[in-house]
Amino acid sequence: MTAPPLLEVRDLHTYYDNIAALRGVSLTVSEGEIVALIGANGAGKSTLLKSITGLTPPRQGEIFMEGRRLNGVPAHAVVRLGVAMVPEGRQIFGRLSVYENLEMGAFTRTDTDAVQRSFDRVFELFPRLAERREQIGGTLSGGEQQMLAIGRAIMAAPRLLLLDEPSMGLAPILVQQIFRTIREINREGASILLVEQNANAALSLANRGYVLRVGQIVIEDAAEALKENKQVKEAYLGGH
Amino acid sequence: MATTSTTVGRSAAFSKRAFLTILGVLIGAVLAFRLGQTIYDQVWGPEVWIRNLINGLALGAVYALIALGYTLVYGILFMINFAHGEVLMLGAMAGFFVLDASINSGFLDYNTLLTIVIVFIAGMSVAVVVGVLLERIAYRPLRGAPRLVPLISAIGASIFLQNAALQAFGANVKIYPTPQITGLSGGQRFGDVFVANTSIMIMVLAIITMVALVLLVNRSRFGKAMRAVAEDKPTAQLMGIDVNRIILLTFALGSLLAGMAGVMLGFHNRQVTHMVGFMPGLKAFTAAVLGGIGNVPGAMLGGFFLGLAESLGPTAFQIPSAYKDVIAFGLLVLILIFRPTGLMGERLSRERA
Amino acid sequence: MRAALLPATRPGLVGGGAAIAIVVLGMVTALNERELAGLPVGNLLVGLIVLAVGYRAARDAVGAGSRLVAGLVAGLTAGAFLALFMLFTRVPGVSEKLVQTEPEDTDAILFGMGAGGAALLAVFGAGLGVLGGVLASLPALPTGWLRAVAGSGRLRLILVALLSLLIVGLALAFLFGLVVAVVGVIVLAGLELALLGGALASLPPLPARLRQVLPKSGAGRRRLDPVALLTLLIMAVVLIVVPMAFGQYFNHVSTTVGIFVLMGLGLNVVVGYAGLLDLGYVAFFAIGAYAMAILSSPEQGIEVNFWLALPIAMAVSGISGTLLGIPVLRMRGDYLAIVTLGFGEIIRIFSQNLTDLTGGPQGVRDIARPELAEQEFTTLLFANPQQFYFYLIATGVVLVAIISAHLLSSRIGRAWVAMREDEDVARAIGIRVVRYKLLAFTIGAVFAGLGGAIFASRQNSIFPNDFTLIVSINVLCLVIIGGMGSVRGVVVGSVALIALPEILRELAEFRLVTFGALLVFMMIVRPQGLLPAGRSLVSGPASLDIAAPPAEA
Ligand SMILES: Nc1ncnc2c1ncn2[C@@H]1O[C@H](COP(=O)(O)OP(=O)(O)O)[C@@H](O)[C@H]1O
Ligand SMILES: [Mg+2]
Repeated sequence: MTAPPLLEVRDLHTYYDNIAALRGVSLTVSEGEIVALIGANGAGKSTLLKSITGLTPPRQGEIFMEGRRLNGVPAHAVVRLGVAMVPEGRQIFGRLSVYENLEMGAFTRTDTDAVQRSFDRVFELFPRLAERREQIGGTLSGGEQQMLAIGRAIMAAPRLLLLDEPSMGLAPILVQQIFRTIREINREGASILLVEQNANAALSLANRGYVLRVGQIVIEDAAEALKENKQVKEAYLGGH
Repeated sequence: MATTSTTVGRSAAFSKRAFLTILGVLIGAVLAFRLGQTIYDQVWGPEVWIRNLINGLALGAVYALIALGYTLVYGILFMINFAHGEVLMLGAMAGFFVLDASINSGFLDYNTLLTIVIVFIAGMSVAVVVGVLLERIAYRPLRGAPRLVPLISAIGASIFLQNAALQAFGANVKIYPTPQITGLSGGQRFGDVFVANTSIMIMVLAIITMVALVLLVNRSRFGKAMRAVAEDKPTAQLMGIDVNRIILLTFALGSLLAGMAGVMLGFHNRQVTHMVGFMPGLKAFTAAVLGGIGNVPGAMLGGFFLGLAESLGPTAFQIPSAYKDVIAFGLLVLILIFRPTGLMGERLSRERA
Repeated sequence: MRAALLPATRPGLVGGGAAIAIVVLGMVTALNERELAGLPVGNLLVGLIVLAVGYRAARDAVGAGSRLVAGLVAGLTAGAFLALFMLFTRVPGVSEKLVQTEPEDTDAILFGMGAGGAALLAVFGAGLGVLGGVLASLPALPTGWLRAVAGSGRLRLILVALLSLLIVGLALAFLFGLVVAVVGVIVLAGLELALLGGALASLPPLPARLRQVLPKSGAGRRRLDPVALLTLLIMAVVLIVVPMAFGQYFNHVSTTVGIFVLMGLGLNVVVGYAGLLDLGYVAFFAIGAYAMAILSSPEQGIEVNFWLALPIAMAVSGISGTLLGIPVLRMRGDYLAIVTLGFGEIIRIFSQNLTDLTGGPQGVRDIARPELAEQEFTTLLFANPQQFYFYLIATGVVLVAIISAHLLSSRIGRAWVAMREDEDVARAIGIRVVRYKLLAFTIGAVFAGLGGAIFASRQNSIFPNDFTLIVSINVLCLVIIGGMGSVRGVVVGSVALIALPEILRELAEFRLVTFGALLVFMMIVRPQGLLPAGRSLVSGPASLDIAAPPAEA
């Protein structure tokens, strides 16, 4: 008998007004895993993450975090249950300083010593942020903003980290650095659900992967197997 | 999305610093010239100028306190809380009733300072309750509706509150018995210039409050959460911030300031009616826009600027004081033409160089 | 069951607060002067509130037992809250401050028994709450057959209309006597005809396929539906006959409504079509009125004839619209609101202080009435001058309505809509935004000027206090209540906003309180207005998103 997965999503349906964005998605993330979620633009990847965090509550289906039902839990309470998200397009607070952005990430935590350790860890992972701790978020470069967004999520000390296209719009060297950091975070104990258009990189990093198409999971497999999957190759890996 | 307001600042006709400098120098020059001229022509002496300067500062302090309420709410919800003036009025009313009761019961004679403190607390508490109810009943159900909808709701709430006060408490003028209160009744004489004690109280209290507010917004956990919510509500939620609660607290904070301003006006003008919220509310909103709505230091600057303009304008140009409202709105139009986002630009955040 | 307890106190507190409010505002005292089935209406209203509270609380609960308990808790809370407050008003000195609350009322609400009565009131509240809970537990009424009968859209509309006439007629007769009832029913009937005509016309009169085959005429052309035509005809007859049949009072109310319709149509162009929030619209009304007054009153020594002064007043008003528009129309929406509001105040301050021109607070008297062929038209043909104004204003309204309907379907109207929906996009596709804004502002000002000029003449004398901010707010509210961007909506909104309070004069002292509360309520339950225009006209898509900062000009 295996322990229940860290995150379990069962038959999720999410709508924008009357347009279905998710049509029966089921997926799991187990303790310690990195799971990649790939799919074309508009497939519903971001919607899935937003449904898990309560920003777009699902109309049907269930979400469990460590066996606890997340349906109906307001978005601001989800982070207390150990789920942090790096939203699409980073969405850092452009008018708050780097340091204040990180403080916001730890908003729900009260153990000041532990929070201080998280600060130290973030500045260790991203020395660039330490240099710019008083700089206003909106004036950071794109790569720095992405570091800040990830750092901010780390500040919540999550058990599950949701990342929505962290490589978007970044130079290849930066992408590599970001992906290394993600692996690092995973080694330190956080499970990861990684949404990516950059399927190759994501599958290289992940243990398992799902392919989402028009609101439904069409393929689910080990990451290595997915990389070899013919359909996946043609559609998402640029055919090489 | 997040960068829109910074571009506003940049696309303005003048940069902020240049504009403020030019404006300051210009106003300073004109005032200095008229100061010399009126004294030389013996229209009025320097004591008139100083008296009006102090009146302007006191009036400006009140405007600034009220304007802060508009700016905080606007900064976080992008809505004009049209009923803010009525919150002030109800605060002033509550202050009056408590003051009246303490006079009748002899408590005022027993401890004057404590009475004044209690009057302020009563006014501010009632204002907070009204502001919070307003948010829960009239605004929260409209979150996410098109912009005009909450505005109309606010107008409705304003009409309701004003007329409810009229119905409940009557149309008669309620006299704040300031002259009976030792310490508030008289004034201080500095040479030729007489300054009412209430003006001094207003300025001291307002400045302390504003310093505290700036610290709260910039330094406290609540202040940072408020700025985060103002900027991006969904992301703030992801951080674990309860957006509804922050919005409610923001209303409470703004209403607290309005209640304080209401009691101040009560003591200073020595009377309240159900109408006292309207004009100060309008002026303070003007002040908030002048300073750049959503901008905390801007609201303060705008308040003082407007207060001074209203009291020094007629002094400088010998305009009948009936036209002081014309000055206020005229200034607003002029400044918005050159700086479409107000003196300090719009944003609810910490000022940095 | 225990889970139902705490949530039920909330509706209880809300209801108790509402009950306290109507007591404090003096509504209970005023309404207690009437009786319904032997019970004083005021107390009945308080009871109804508590009943509703119990019903509301019970509806949220699951299971019959929980429903009753929830009703009980809510009713108890409401009753206790009210009782506590009533006791509070008996503290010496408190009831003097509450001018509308007489100690006798307090006594009556506490059953004349003081503190014991308070306990009784709480128990009474609990009983009513349980009753509400029972009501909530009843199976839903079998309304299916009703729906089946009224299955067809048209039939349902007509049924609803007739039913509403009956109810309103009975209510008015009961409250105010026969005369008011007849007036009320006729006003309402006219209104409903207008509504119904529109609604019937908007149901597909022809099978869609058939319509596609029919040749399409010019872009703005509307098809002539026989039902709509019939409605128009009936309306015209009513409009012509009604003022003859009724006296001075009806004519006064209906011309007031008409003047507000004129202003509403003007502001509809500014806010509804072009999306510019003008809070100082009264300024143009005032300018039109003062232009008429100054030009035609002998006090100023110009004494121009009404018919000459009318177009001049409109022109002056329009020009001032343009002049104000030039500096302010580059500003962003909310700033525009406050600046226009300020402009309205400035005009009023000037009218109060420029004594040589406007007479100051004394106003201008002896403003000309419309004359024809050297003779007072009004005395020649009509029993009273108000009657002539009725036809004059009706003509004005029809013309202005036609003009604004045509404007909307013209090139100009499409530019406005594009601009309102997204200013940047409009600019990008080559629409000269500022120019079109100016046009909207000017047209709106001309319409308001027309209203103002006629108003001045009808009043015969005008004073600065005729032009306060509350006028601007009223006009804005009627546009929004009616349904922004729709001409029919403006008419309905004016009747709802101006005529109903006039007719319900007896409730005069509670008019504004009720009005304010209704505005809030309406925004919550029906923000699009009574008769909205087809699409979302309230504002652009950017403003639908609370997270987005406001669009910049
Ligand atoms: N706020 C929204 N309102 C309406 N539709 C939306 C909204 N956000 C996303 N959608 C729609 O939902 C679908 C899924 O979008 P999204 O989850 O963002 O896809 P992905 O992240 O995979 O690119 C798309 O068809 C998109 O158009
Ligand atoms: Mg996406």
